[in-house]
Amino acid sequence: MPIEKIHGCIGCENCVKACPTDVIRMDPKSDQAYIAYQQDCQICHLCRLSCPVDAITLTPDRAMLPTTSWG
Amino acid sequence: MTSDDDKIDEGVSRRDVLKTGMFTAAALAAPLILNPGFTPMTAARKSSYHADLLIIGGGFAGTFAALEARKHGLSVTMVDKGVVGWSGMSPWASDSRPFDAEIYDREEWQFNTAMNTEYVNDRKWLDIFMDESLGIFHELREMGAHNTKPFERGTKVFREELENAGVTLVERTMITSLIQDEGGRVSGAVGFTYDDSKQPSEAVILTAGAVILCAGAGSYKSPGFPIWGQTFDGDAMAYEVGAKIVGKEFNDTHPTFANIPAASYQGWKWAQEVVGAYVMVGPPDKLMGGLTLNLALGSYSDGVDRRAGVGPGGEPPMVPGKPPPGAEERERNRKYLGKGYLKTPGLHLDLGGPPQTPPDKDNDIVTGHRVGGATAGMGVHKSEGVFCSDYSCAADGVEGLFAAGDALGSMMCGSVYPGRGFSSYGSAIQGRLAGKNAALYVKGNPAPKISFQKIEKLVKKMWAPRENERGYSPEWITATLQNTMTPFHILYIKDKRRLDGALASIEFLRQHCVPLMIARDGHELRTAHEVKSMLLNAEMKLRSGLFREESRGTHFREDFPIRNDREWHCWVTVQDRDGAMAMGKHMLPEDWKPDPTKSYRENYPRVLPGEDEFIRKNSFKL
Ligand SMILES: Cc1cc2nc3c(=O)[nH]c(=O)nc-3n(C[C@H](O)[C@H](O)[C@H](O)COP(=O)(O)OP(=O)(O)OC[C@H]3O[C@@H](n4cnc5c(N)ncnc54)[C@H](O)[C@@H]3O)c2cc1C
Ligand code: SF4
Ligand code: SF4
Repeated sequence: MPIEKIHGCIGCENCVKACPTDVIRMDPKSDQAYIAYQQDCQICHLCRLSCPVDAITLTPDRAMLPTTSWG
Repeated sequence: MTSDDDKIDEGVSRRDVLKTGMFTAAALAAPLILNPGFTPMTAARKSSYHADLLIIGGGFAGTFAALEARKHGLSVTMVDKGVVGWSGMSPWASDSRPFDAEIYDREEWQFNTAMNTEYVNDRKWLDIFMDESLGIFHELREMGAHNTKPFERGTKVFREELENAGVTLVERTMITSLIQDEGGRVSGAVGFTYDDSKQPSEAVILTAGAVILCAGAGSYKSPGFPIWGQTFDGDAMAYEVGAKIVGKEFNDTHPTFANIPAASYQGWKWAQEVVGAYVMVGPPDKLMGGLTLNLALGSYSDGVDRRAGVGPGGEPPMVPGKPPPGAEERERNRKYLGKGYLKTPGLHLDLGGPPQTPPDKDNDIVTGHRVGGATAGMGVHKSEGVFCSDYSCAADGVEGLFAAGDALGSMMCGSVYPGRGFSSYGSAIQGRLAGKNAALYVKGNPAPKISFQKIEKLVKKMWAPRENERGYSPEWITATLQNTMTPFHILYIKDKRRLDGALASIEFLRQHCVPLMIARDGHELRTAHEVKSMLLNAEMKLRSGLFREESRGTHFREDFPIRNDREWHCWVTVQDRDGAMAMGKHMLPEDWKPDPTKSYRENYPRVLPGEDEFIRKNSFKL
């Protein structure tokens, strides 16, 4: 699991801007950040380090995608 | 140095493969998945920008290019697929290597770098680097880039500098193709906004009198290095408009940890924790040539062989109880940074020794051994990229196109990264030069004749994965590419049969799967274009690796384990010729060759596996 959860977000959008791989997006309804594309997280922590309220949890592990299915 | 010495590789080209018709059979056999987000994009909105100059990418290269062009009075648009100062590799650089003539010896730098990078480094670019790097240091300092706390990257100041200078920033916009005017001159680019959470994706059309590619390098999104946003898009776009691409046979080999191979942060935070960014390191060494093949050779021949060189940053191995190598140099550099300013916690990375298990004090993680492959696909910093033979940063043979930084194939570092600290300032220097020359170009030429039909075509091609109803997901193609290219026995320990095998697979993905890619939304459309660039890069890497029938620096051929200066004292280029990849040799000046009065082993002290035996068997006269 790379980026794991966002909890206690105050909606500043810093993490969305900081993420180089577009993993995090803003939910237009709640105005809070959510994990949209977890599979593209490179575990660089730039989001966490830019969050003013330390809302983001990451772990260093990651499952690689099996390529046995076709497509 | 002209392109006359280029020759076309007579080997298999993609055209030949296509003729056999084998793709048709495979296509019928492959089940295609449905695109859940299939949408006709004809009604998508468009936004347009026009300026004298367009810069693609906002790292060290793009920032210095834009500031320079503004000084020359040009209007400038800068577009980035991420956010300026946050994306690309630039936020991660920690060390610099400015040349100070009062402390260092120019000849020593030249000699050591040449030996280290095995004589195919561009000495003139190194001269330019030595002339300019201290100036870059002072400029960055004035911008406030050095006044950083840990993890507050110096590059954050770039954004403000650019805004103050009046550069128009277009961010979170993925560029897919360069626009050529009616005469073929590069005069803009097309792309799209991918963040469709609030608004649907739009096409973005940027036109200009010239374009500077500062889009950085790339990797195959291999786990363990924080550069997944970098996918060789610049090389790919330049190749498509006919530019030559150089340096693809040489590889970077940054490591990761065996137990948590995907954790970029754990691997590289040591550099981020430096207080006062841009620590200076001293002169390059003769043999410490980093990013050597050690890790690959270690996996291959049971143990790391230090004779082939040591760590990635140019460090000799750490000796327990002794101060880290380079400490003295850093001490000397307090001249610039000031007393008490510079703290470098654990700033040392020894890859020359046996695998280590560094403790992770924050998380109590058992990281495991250092293992290679974290940057699979990436070439040598300051080497691979768009080829320019006249030091102007203008792409050879393509009007209106310039390149700088990791996107430029300057070959400054030849076949091996000679040590940390050349890259970030090197990018800045090249950016500034490109900014100046592009400004002269724009002023000296009439406005391009933009063809809107051509733009429409590019936009249509860009949206294609959204409009494909069935096909292959970019995620699957990416994983298949990674599985094909990243094993150490393909990209690092090379051999003709294995390279040919990988090439056949990559060609198939490019020919058959890419046209059938599907993208359910803006994010997937971005990843679709990224994997397209990565596949093109993979083909370039395999063909360049096959073409260079010798070993040198980080290019190791098991079947040719010897340096061959007679035939291969050159750079290898690839260029599109009617849909096929044409290989070229760019021979280097005679006086860049190793000292003829010295023995082979004196000139090439790194011993490659199988080399001595090969020499004996083939009775080479050395
Ligand atoms: C972990 C790490 C440590 C490093 N350490 C050092 C060091 O200590 N010293 C040193 O000198 N160098 C170091 N480097 C290398 C150095 O950071 C880079 O060589 C340098 O920053 C490259 O600058 P650049 O401007 O050429 O490219 P980048 O900074 O990579 O910028 C490229 C920009 O182009 C944008 N872009 C890419 N594709 C597209 C597209 N299709 N459309 C729009 N925009 C696009 C990207 O988003 C990015 O912002 C390190 C790199 C890493 C990753
Ligand atoms: S760790 Fe990096 S890649 Fe992952 S979500 Fe955060 S910023 Fe994005
Ligand atoms: S940086 Fe933190 S507070 Fe700001 S949007 Fe992201 S999670 Fe929310």
